[in-house]
Formats: sequence, structure tokens, C-alpha cells
Amino acid sequence: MEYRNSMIRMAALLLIAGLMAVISPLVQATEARTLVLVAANSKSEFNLSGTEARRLFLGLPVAKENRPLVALINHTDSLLYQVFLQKIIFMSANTYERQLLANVARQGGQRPRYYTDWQELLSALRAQPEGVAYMWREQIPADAGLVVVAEIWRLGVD
Amino acid sequence: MVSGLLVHAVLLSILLSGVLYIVVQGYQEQFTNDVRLSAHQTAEHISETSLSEHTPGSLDEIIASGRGVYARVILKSGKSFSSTINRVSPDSQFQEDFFFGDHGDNVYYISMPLRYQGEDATLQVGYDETLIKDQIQHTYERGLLFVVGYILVSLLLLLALTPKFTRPLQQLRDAAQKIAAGATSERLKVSSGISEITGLADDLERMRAALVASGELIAVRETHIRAIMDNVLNGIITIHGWGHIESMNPAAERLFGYEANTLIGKPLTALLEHGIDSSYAQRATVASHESVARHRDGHTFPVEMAVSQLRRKGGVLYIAIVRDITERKQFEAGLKSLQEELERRVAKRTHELAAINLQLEHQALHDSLTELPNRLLLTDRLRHAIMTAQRKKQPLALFIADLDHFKEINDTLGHHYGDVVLQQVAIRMRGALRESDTISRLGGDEFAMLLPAINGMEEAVQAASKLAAVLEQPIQVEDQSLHVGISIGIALFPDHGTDSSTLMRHADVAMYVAKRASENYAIYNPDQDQHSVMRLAMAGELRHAIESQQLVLFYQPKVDLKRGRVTGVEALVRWQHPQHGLLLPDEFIPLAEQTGLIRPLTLFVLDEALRQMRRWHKSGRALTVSINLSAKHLQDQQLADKIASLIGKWQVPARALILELTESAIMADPLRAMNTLKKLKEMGVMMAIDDFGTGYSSLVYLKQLPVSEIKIDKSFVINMLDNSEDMVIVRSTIDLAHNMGLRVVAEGVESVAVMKKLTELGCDQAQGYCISCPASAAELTEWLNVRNDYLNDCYAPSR
Repeated sequence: MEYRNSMIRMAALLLIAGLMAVISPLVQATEARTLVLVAANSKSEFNLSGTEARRLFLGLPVAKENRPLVALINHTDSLLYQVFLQKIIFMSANTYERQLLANVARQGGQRPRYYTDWQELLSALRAQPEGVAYMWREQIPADAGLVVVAEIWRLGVD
Repeated sequence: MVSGLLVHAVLLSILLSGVLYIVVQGYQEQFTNDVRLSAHQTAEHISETSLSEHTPGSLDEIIASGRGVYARVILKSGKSFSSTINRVSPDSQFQEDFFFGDHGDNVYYISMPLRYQGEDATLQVGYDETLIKDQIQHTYERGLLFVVGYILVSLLLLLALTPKFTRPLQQLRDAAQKIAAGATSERLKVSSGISEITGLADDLERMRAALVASGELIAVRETHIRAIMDNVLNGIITIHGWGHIESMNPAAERLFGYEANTLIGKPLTALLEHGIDSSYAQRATVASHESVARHRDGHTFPVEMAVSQLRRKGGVLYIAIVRDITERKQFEAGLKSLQEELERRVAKRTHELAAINLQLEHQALHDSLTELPNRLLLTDRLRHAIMTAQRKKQPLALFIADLDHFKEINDTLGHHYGDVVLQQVAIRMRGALRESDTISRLGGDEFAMLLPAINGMEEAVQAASKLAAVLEQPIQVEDQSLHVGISIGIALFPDHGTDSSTLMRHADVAMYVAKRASENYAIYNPDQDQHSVMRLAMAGELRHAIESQQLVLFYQPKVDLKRGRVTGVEALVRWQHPQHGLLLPDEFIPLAEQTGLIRPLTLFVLDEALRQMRRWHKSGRALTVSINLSAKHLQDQQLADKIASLIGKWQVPARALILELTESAIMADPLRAMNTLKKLKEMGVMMAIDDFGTGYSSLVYLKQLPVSEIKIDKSFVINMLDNSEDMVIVRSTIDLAHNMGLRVVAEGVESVAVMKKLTELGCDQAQGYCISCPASAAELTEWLNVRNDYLNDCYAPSR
């Protein structure tokens, strides 16, 4: 039994080592990054609180200056997505999906759209003044025409 | 079975791995969700309760719940308070996790922002991951245990059940191998409780039985085919695709003189000079063809070979049917020889026929005696010459010529002399005219000359004079020197006619004119053409006269000089012409002979004379009736039959009919005349030679002729009392006739003195004006009624 446990532990260590090998670069890459909410650079400017952001991305109606905001889910980076879930939604990925569908079904409206392509996401943001998405501040292109409407969390500061 | 078990194990492992993955994911997902929600709620709770100084207690609650192993609030001012368990140092470096198992520290660290007593702070919480990891490990262990147990149980079942399956299957396999090896006689026996195996065994048994039955059928068929192969007359050889002999039947063995086993595997060229061509491979069946075969003893012989192709596993098999065709070849060679001979003969015959055709064509277009063109060829050449003359606008001349005195030569010296004269005349004529001129014999002594492309009448006259001149010299035939003259009628194109028939007719008219005028030639003159027109018109009238009873018969009696009684009459024809009155025979008989009307005319005379004879006979007067026949009648092979028919028609005795013939008529063709006369003689008809002494007679023929009477020509009788020569001839004739047993009739008796002298000379009968002129039947009958007794004086009834 002891031998078996040691074998399992050995396998677990190998797995962890493998995961570390994968994740280590990501962790390195996330140093000094800031998770922000961005919107198109339009004449009307607004700010979002964390609660408003949570409601918006859970599919609940959030309006600014009498205009309903539209959530755009950035799925271009798995780490960013987990940070988003952990810092804004406070749920796991599956629970968020279920909750989102439940809210949309209950409130009506349209399920926030997922974007796996970065350029497509930028285009969608520019095309919709009411659109709000989350991303790393450092990732925002200088000429993208986007403005930060909320700073959620800074990686590597805590 | 083991491999099946292995497959099961692998599949089960994959399935279990999938299930475990999903379960592990579920565990991790649930854990992550719980810690995130818990951290958030804790941060919210601390924010809400921070004013009541309960925060440290909240941190302890996290630890106390067993889930958290670390909790710390760090104020922005740097102040912090925490709660932790022993195994985690409160000073350990906080590394926030975003994935389960992150950082490998078995703790999921998470931070949440909060407000603590109005100051920004951060809640740092660490949740224990080992509980979930233990659950995951436990799940793995259970899964592994399940797989191992499954494999063990399966192995046990395999060991227990395998013999039940494998034993009958092994039996089936052994049986199938035996059947495959040909051992089909043993019945298949497999015992098993598994229905599929027993079913399979039954199927295999049925297959074996079917194989046995099929094998027996194949054996029967093979025996049958073998019997056919052994007894067929043609040699059958099977050859591999690459040309080696595979088998041959007994007929082939006999054909080539080998036993089959000595040739198996050898190339076909051992038997056939050419073997099998590669081109056979492209055809399913090759039509029979001939080849040369080689016998074992070395001699070669022709064969006919038909090759068919059989595609089978392992290549192509050729089946050659070989037949010895030596006899056929010999026959064909003979046939070919015969054919060649036949072709040679046909060619020869064709050549001969061509020559004969040429000869016939020559004969058809030429006169056989003189070799001159005949009328047909002349007419053709004349037509072409007229067309040429019309095109070139150049005159041509046509002569119609008739020889003078030729009839006398022919009659007196015979046809032989006449023929030689004609041949000599033809030769002389050829020499007198140009090569381009055509000289034609139209018939008898009648000739025609076509002179194309002449300058005019003067040249035509010169040619005619030349022709007359060449005939002035006598013609020597054997020892006779004969003189013939010529009468030429000249017609000129286009002056006297523009077509061949007109020119021929006009030249003919001119010829008659020349002959009448005793000139060598005469040029056609339309004024003189009246004669020819009259001749043609009279020919038409004569035909009509025969049909319309214009011909009448006159009868002149013949008297028996010894008894002074009329014993017979001679029928003489007259033509009661509507315009010209009564015409004598000399005026129309020649025309009838020329136009072919003499035959119907004679038949009319015979019919009428026999009808009258019957009248006389019925009235008690048994008179004979004499009728004159011309030479043409004697050539008529139907004459005897026609006379027999008329005798039968009028029911008169044949001996009462006397046919009078001239010597010339008989001598024209003595043999044919003899045949006709013999037939008439056999019928009982009497024959007399008319005008005896005026023509050429051969005593040899005279002796053979079946005549009973000779009529002395009147030219000898009339002056016999004044002319001693005539007297001698009459006397001699009477003596000659009597010596030959013939009766003698004297014609032209015009005085009683002559009749008395004839009586003295022993003449049998007399005929002449002294007795009676020719009279109609009615007049003669009346005359006979009056003068039926002995005639003392001549009596001439008025005509």
C-alpha cells in the first residue's frame, strides 16, 4: 500500500512538474499586468464598478446614461479568462456558464458573445459604443480607440 | 480468447480513464467555484462587519470550517491580521492561484479586495486542496481496482469456458481441412451444446455432401467427355499458353503416330510446323485454317486446324482440333486441275465461239457463194453512206444489176455452172470498182453496188460502163465459154432519193428499164417508174384476188388418141381482173412467184380443181385433172400433206390428180424434189413432166422420177409436120417414154393432121386447140355432154 501511494505520489509529482513547466511561462508573463474593463472611445464616458461589471457579465441589465451596456467575453487567453472569473464573477467556468444561461433565460435578452480572436474582439468593441470587454491594460493597442472604464485587479501587486 | 480479454481490458481502461477525467474535472471545478465564492463572500462579510471588530473571528471561522488553511487581511496601511493552521506558515509567501493545484503547494491561494473600517484592504485566503486530491486519488484507486477485478474475472471465465468453445471448433476445423484435402467420404460428427456451432457443423456437413454429389457428377461428366475425346475422329490437342502440349486424344495419337505421354510438355512445333501464333491470345476462337503437320515417321501432311481459347486460372489453354486433309487436298488438286482444264476448254470454246460468231456474223451479212455483202449489210452501209453524204453534201450512187442469160445457163447447164458464173462475175465486179465501193449480191443473179462519195452522174455512168465492160469477156467454166450480160439501174443520192428504200426501189426500176431496153445501164427516170408502181399495185391486187375469188379455173381436155375419148383435163388459172379483164397466167404467175403469193394461189387452184373433179365424178365422168406446179412447190415439205388434206376434203381418188412439173423445177433441187414426189406417189397422186424437151433433163434423174406421164412441149408439136427435127424429137420422146413405161401427152395439137400423125407415132394422148380451147367448167361440161364420144374432128369451143 505504501509502495502504491509512493507510485501515485510520484505520478502526481510528475504531473505537477509538467503543469509547472507549462504554467511557469504564463506566470512570468502575467507579472505587472492589470485587468481592466474597456469600451469604445465615444463622446459619452462612463465608469463601471466591480458589482456592475459582475452583473453585466452575468447577463443582467446594466445601463449607463440610459443606454444598456453589452458584455463582450474575451476568451482569447485562458489565464485572462480565469482571472476574469476569479476577480469579477467569483465562480468557476462551468458555474458561470450555467448562471449566465439561467440569467439570460430568466431576464430575456441575448447571451454575451464569446470572442476567441483578438482582432475580432477589437472590431466588435469599436463597432459597439455600448460594448464592454475585459483585457490586460498592457495589451490594449495605442490606436485601438478604446478607453478603460474600470480597473479591476493588478497582477503581481498583491 | 486472450486477445479478446486484452481488448476488453484496454477498452475498459479507456472508458474508465474518460470517466475518471470527468469526475476529477468535476471535483476541481466544484472546488474552484467554492473557493472563489467563499473568498468573495468572506470579503463582503468582512467589509460589512469590519466596523464591529469581528473580522479576526471571521478569519478563524474560515480555518475552523476545515476548508481554509490560511486567512489574512492586509490593510493598505500595512497592518494585517491573520489566522492559520500549523502546517502553513503565516509568513509564507502568498502566490495567488487561478487553477486547481497551481504552484504545487496543495493550497489554493486567492485574494479579494475589501474595505476594512473605511480603509482599502485585501483578503488573502488559502484553501486546502488535499481533500479534493485525496478524493481524486481514491477515485483512481477504485477505478484501478475495478479494472483489475474485471480482468481477473474475465480470465477465470475464459479458462473455464474456452474448452467448450474450442473443442467443437477444433473438430470443425479438422473436418474442414479433411474436406479441403479431398477426404469427403467421412461424415462430419461434432457434438456441442452451442447451437451456432452445431448449426455451423450442419452447414459444413451439407457442404461436404454437396461436394460429394458434385464430385460424382463431375466424374460422370469427365468420363463422358473422355469417351467423346477417345472416340472423336478429329485429333484434339490441348496446349498451354506458352505453346507446350498438355494432352492429346487417341485420334491425335493416330494422326501423328505418337503416344500422348511421349509428347506431354513438348512444344507444339514438334507436331506442327507453325505451332500456335501469339495472335491467338487476342482471339477467343480462331477460324479453322490449314497448316502442315509432321508425322512421327518424318513425313508431312496437310491438316486443318481450328483453335479455341480457354482462359483458366494459371493462364490460357488452347484447344486445337486437327484434321488430316490429305485426301481433300488431293481432291482439291484434282478439282483444280479439272477446273483449269475446264477453263482452258472454255477459253478454247469461247475462242471458237467467237470465231464462229464472227463467221456467223460474216455469213449473216455476206452471200456464201460469192462472199459479197448481202442485202442486210448493203442496207446498213447504204444508210451510213447516206448519213455521211448528207453531212458532207456529196452524192452517192446505187446500182441494182441483173445478169442477162443467167437463167438459161442455170437451167441448161445446171446450178454448178450458174454458181461458178456468179463467183466469176463477183470477182470481175470487185476489180472494176473502188475498194471503198460495196458490191452486194441480193439473190439469184441480182446484184447491187454502192458507190459512196462520187462526183456526180458522170462518174456513176463511168462505173456502170466499166462493170458492163468487164462482163463482155466470156466466162470460162470448165470446158464451156459462157457469155453473160448485165442490166444496171442507177439511182443517185440525193437526186433520186434521200433514203435507202427509195434509192433501192428507184435503182430497181431503172434496172428493169435497162433490161427491157436491152441496155447495159439505165438512169432512174421518174416517168419510167410507172411500171414498178403497177407491179407493186398488181401484187397487192393479186393477194386480194385470191381472197375474193377473182381467180377462175379454165379446163382444157386431154383426149385418149387410141380410144378417141376425153380422159382428163388440165386446169389453167385465169385472173378475172376488174380493170384489165381476163389476165393469162404469164401476166401474173411470175409476179406471184416473186412475191410469194404462188403458194396460196396454187392451193386455191388445187382446192377449186378438186372441187370440180368431185362434181364431174359425181355426175359419172371419171376425168383426171392435171395441175401445174412450180419449182417452189417442190421445195415445200408441207406440199404432200396439204394435197392429202384437200383430197380428203373433196373425197376424190388420188390417182385422178395429175401434177405437172417442168424439168427445170425438178432439177433446181433434185433430191428435195424427189422426196416430195415420192410422198405424192405413195399417196397415189400421178405426176407428169410438163414442157418436156425445153429444159435441161438428166435421163438418170428421169429414170428415177416417180412420174407416169410426159407432156411434149407444144413448140415441138405445132410444127412437127413441117419441121423434121421437131418430128424427130416428138418421135424420139414418144419412144423414149414408152420404153420407160411412161404415158405421152402431146400439147399444142392444133390440127387433125398433127393429131393423126401423133396417133401413128403411138402418142397416147393429145391436148390442143384442135380438140378444145381452155374453157370454164360449165362450158367444158356442156361440151363433154355433146362430144362424149369418139372425136373425129377437132372441135374448138368458143371462148
